[in-house]
Amino acid sequence: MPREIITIQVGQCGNQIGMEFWKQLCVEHGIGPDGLLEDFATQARFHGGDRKDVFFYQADDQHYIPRALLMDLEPRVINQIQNGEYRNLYNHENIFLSDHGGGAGNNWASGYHQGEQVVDDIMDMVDREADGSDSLEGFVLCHSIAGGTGSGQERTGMGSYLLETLNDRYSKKLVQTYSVFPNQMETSDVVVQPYNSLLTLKRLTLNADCVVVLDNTALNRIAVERLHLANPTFKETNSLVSTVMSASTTTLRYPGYMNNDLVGLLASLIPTPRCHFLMTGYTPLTVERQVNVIRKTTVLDVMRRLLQTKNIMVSSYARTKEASQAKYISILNIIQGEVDPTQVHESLQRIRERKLVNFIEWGPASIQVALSRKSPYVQTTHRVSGLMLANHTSIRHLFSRCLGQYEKLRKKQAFLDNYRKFPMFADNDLSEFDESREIIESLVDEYKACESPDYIKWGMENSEKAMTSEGSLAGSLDSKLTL
Amino acid sequence: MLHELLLALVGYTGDLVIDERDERETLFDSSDPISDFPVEPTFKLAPDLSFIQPSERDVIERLLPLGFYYRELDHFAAKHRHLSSFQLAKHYPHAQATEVQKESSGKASVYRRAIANGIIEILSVYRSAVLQVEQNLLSDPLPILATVTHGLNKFDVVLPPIYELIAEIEREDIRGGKLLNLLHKRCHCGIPELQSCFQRLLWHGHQVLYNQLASWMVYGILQDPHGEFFIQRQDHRDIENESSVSDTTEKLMYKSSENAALTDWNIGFHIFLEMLPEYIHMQIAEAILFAGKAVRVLRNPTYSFRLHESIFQQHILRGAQRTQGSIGGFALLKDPLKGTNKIADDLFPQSEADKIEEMLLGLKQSSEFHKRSFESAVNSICTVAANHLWQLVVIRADLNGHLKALKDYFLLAKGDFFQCFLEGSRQLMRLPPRLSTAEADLMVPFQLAALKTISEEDKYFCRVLLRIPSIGIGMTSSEMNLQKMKVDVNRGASLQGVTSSGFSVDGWDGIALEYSVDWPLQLFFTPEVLSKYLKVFQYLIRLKRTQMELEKSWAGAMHQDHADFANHRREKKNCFPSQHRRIRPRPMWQVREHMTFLIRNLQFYIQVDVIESQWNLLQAHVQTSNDFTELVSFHQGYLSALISQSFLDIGSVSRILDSIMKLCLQFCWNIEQYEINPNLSELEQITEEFNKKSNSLYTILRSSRLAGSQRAPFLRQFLMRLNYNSFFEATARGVLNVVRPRPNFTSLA
Repeated sequence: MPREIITIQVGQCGNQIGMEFWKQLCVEHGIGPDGLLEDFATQARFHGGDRKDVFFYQADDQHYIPRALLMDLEPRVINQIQNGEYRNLYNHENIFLSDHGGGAGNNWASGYHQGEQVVDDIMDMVDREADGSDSLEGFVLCHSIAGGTGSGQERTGMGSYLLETLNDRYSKKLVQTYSVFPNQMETSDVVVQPYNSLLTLKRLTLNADCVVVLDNTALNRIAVERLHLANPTFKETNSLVSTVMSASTTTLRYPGYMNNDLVGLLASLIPTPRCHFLMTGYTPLTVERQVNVIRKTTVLDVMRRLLQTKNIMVSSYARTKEASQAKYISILNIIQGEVDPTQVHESLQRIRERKLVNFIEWGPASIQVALSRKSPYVQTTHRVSGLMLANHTSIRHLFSRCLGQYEKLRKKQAFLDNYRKFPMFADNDLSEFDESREIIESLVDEYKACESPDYIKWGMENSEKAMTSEGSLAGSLDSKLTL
Repeated sequence: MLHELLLALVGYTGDLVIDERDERETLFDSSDPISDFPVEPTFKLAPDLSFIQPSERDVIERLLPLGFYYRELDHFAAKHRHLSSFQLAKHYPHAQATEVQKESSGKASVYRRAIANGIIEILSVYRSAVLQVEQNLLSDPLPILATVTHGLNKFDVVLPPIYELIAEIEREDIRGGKLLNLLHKRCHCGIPELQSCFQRLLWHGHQVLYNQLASWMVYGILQDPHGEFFIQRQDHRDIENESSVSDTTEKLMYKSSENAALTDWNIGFHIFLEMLPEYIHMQIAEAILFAGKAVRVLRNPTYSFRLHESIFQQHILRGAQRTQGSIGGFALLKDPLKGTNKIADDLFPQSEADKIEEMLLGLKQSSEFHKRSFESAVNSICTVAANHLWQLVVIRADLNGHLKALKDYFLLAKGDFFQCFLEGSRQLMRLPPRLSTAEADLMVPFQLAALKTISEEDKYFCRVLLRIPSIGIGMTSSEMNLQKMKVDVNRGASLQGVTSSGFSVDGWDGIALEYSVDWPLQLFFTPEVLSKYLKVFQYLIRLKRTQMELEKSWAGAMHQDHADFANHRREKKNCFPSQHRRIRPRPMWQVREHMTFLIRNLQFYIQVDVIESQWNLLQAHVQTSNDFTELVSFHQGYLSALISQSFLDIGSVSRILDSIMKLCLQFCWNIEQYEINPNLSELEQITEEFNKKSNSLYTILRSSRLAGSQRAPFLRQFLMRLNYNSFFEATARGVLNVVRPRPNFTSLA
């Protein structure tokens, strides 16, 4: 069709994830590091049945080129890519490096400001890429909301700016993000991280259609516990992210009856516009040197494992009492491999009987299971693998934690001077912070309200507050509904 | 005098022995038909003979019936052995034979002729016995009557029943299978001589049967000039007419011959119960019918198939020859049909035919009819035929590829293609279809979608054809549909006038796919099968359309949310009073969510629990089976499972799902119009209606009436998905309790 998706990778983390993602996609589609189809893939072309054109386009010389934009404010990671094995894969026109060079002081505002300044260059690239597609479905943004432990957090600001601009310019296109949240357990050596996180979170709440939350804490934990790595490197945790990314796009790349586009994938997961933060789980997890670990993988096993918190890539910061109240708003399991479809129903039934999932009470919800094909070129020892995309209310604790850290810092009025240097916060106008906080708080509230059966009433209160003509009409409709 | 008697015994009456019938005929010219075969023998001693003692008269009178029987049997045999009529009939089965038949009394019958032959045999035994008697008499210096009695005694038990038999045959005009049946019944008698006689006659009858079977099962030819075989062609005239009309151009003829081959298979032959001997089981008869049809198909590959195959072969040949120089290759190409006989041979090798023939020959030669061995032979022949047909259909004609293609297109497994198509035709489909151009209109997005998603990769795509049934060539079959659609369109238009919300429900639901299958796959994908596929397709595509509209609506609302916020921010920046429209009417989200949930779960259910499960089952069968008939029945099972498990055949469920889909579409279109033309009251109405429907869906799914049916497990599977977090149940119960608070209702639900 193809409902093309343009991937935008911003910053160190975004580019690292992106690089792994493209590597994975190349392997799955039988595309070599130089963008040419591997021999085995050309022979088996008739049997592949894959859609490469969602994520790639073909250049005149038959090279497959990712629909990817690489952006950073400092050259280190992108240089790595440009000197790496896959250097010829990307369209070099699609790489944006700020002339500015190294970033200034981990400051979100700086990045945002820089973004504003180079917006024309960036949007040129985006436009060119968008024009090159037939019916663009949307954008996927890979980034970290607060950078890693290193320097250069201002890039988060750039990502934020980009989100806003995309929303403005491509208002009809979907924006999905894969957002890596910083490790909340360790205190970051970047002191202003809570500020940056909050400001980015606001954009994610307002300008993205879907945010796949990947929590570095959980990624580390999974790497240690599940993959038995003593000291997981970024590369290793990032490969987890790319696994999730590629798995969540399988239904787009190996089309079947359903979920062939991003809308289809997301619409059922996100019942209300604000609650669009998704958690993911993946099983079985292996890294390359562990291929010899063989597990039994039936559909039930996979689905059961996906529901275990230890496999979910967001840590639960909830206290036990709260945790018990947390509820799933929606679940989509994408199961790949040789599956006996009759097992799906049995597994669903078993899970329901055992009450393994706690669903919301204010609306219909179920575990949707999409069966997807697997790349014929990737040999795995396990027959079945599964990805879970879930909308779960416990994500609010992550946001609460961000809020808490922000409050702590803000109370002290610490490090605000750096921000005041930039137009957004000029004249000591810190309303952006306040607004952001307000929005995140309301988000947390909304998620909390989702846990109770009268979530619908929560909406009504809000609309009463709004006191608009629409709101009151809505109210009247609502009262009918709750009948 | 004894000679006079002997002559009378071989049928010649004279002065001594007279035929009463002749007498009677001369006296009154009665034309009583029964008198042809008088029940009582009519040979009598002339009453005016005075020199014969009453005791002798007694003895002679007792002998005379033999002569009468002999004459009648001989007469019968002569009549039915009427060679010229048979010869003619054999060569000109249709035209002249009928006249000849009319000339000779009654209708000709191969079977009767065979019986006649048998009778001749028996009579010759009788004749030689008479001869023996004559010799005995001559050699005896004192000839006595007792010699005659002694010599011909044993025929007393044999001839009368045979006479009775032929009398019955003539009287009731018994032919073909019935004749065999009659003989078979007569074989059960306690008199050994008689039994062996009847068996002999039956054997003669079976010779004909076996010949017919052989021509049918070895060559696929129906050799049955007098309509006596229990397998018969149906609608002779139609097919003949068809082919005579289509003689005009060669191409047409090929086409019609293809059609004829197809109709041959489907309805061309049937079992003619009247001619089926009762001792041949219906199943066996069906097996024979199948085997013959299969051989027919194997022996007569259609022109296009032959052409295709031979060109294919020549490609190989030419490829081989290219190294040596390509001149030879050209020569080969000039005569594409040269290799065709070879292909037919390939399809059904002579050795197999010989094997079948041998089997039949073995049966033919055994003097008695053994039901068991007959059945086992037929079964093994049937298996041979089924195997070859299987090979033809599954391996040569790539059945699996076609099955896959049908799944891809009719069961929407190529989701991306249909998504693209529906997206492309979305604007078009919002308007009511224009009768004259709808099909052409849709063709554009269809081709475009194909271009974008399928490209040249799928060789099956060219077989798929989009149709709007009432408009395309399929006019004849869907006159009814047309009427209905007209009404629909009218209603849509009028509605549009009234509500101005622009929904028209929905002429487009008639979208149909056609799939052209080559010979010999028509044997497998009969029009009936394809129409079942079509039924599922139309259902699935409607579901998909609904789902896509809901998703579109979702995306729209998402964008609206972003935009609203952006506006809000701008306003705030410009210091407008905070008149923000941030909050969208939440209930819309909720209703849409419920709709999406319902539709998607139905889709997931159909896709995973029904289509994929059944498909795996079918694949397993296709892999293990190598018998054509088996395959056909598996496929039938697959299709009917698809239909019944997606509830297409449960009126109550499918009606409700139908109206739910309709409501969803209306809802989406209303929402879309919302910005321009907010029509809350209608939205409200839709919402209410939807809630009602979804509740009644729950009630139906739970109803005890369906709980006992075969489909209960599938209904439960679907319900489990819908009611996974018990919300569905809770609302339905809540509403039900409000609406009709009958005390025992909840316990029932």
